[in-house]
Amino acid sequence: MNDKDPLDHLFAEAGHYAPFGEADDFGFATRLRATLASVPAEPGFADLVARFSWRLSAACLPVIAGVFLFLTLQHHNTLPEGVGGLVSHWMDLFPLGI
Amino acid sequence: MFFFDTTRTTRKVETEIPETEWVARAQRGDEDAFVHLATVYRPRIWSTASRFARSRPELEDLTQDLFVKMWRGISSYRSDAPFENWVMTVTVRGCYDFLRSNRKRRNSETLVDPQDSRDDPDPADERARSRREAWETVALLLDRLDPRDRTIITLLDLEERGVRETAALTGWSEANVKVRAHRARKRMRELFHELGLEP
Repeated sequence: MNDKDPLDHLFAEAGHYAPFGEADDFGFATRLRATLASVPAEPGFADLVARFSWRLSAACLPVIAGVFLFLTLQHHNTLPEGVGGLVSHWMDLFPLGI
Repeated sequence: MFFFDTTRTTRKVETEIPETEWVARAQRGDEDAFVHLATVYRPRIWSTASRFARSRPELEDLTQDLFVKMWRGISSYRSDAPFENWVMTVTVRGCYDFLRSNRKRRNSETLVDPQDSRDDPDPADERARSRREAWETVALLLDRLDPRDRTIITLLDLEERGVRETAALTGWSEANVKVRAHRARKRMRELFHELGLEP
């Protein structure tokens, strides 16, 4: 290293300085225990599934719409004409009489 | 009347238990064992982390975050390397993550906390004052570096660790550490002159 380099002198001096003094031991263990107690447990597989479940449910919507459209096109010959006929046909599938 | 000095007894028992046993207990989820290990390693963690924080409260928060990382990751520690190496690796990488995640906020803050200057243990001491001023200058220059360069310079030049050790602690290659250290020192020299910090 270059002896005249001001950086080397700065590093040597600064390396011996503790910017914020020593660690305060008073109450350290108590604070650490309190922090650890508030740390949530590592998520397991079930937690990950639960975390993404709302995204999965949203992803199901286009699938359901696709299945509905596919079945409708497959059975369009057997379905009654018009929107009213379709509604009454699908309503018949409900278990409750409306 | 009997008197039991429980403090002395506890200390004696603690020193008789080897560190590997404390680590094994902590890995099994024993919080007391982890707190014991944290108390032992706290001065070293505090010393390294103090090079990355700007104020004492920030340093307190950073060290608490590091302990939480260690508590969460202690099960991943393998006993083929000393426990201290693992502790310092988590510390250095945690400090680097801290720098990266707080970079924008830190850029908008003032560089020197006046409270810290007032907290100087002995302002009349010329030696202490010289070291504090050197640190403030170095901190000013480090703040203008990339987080990765700052981490490397802190380990190499302030903590006086070797290139190999720095590479092991950071997880970067030795060649990368050398090249980045060279560039960072060059940049610091330029900043030193640009900011008019020559004595």
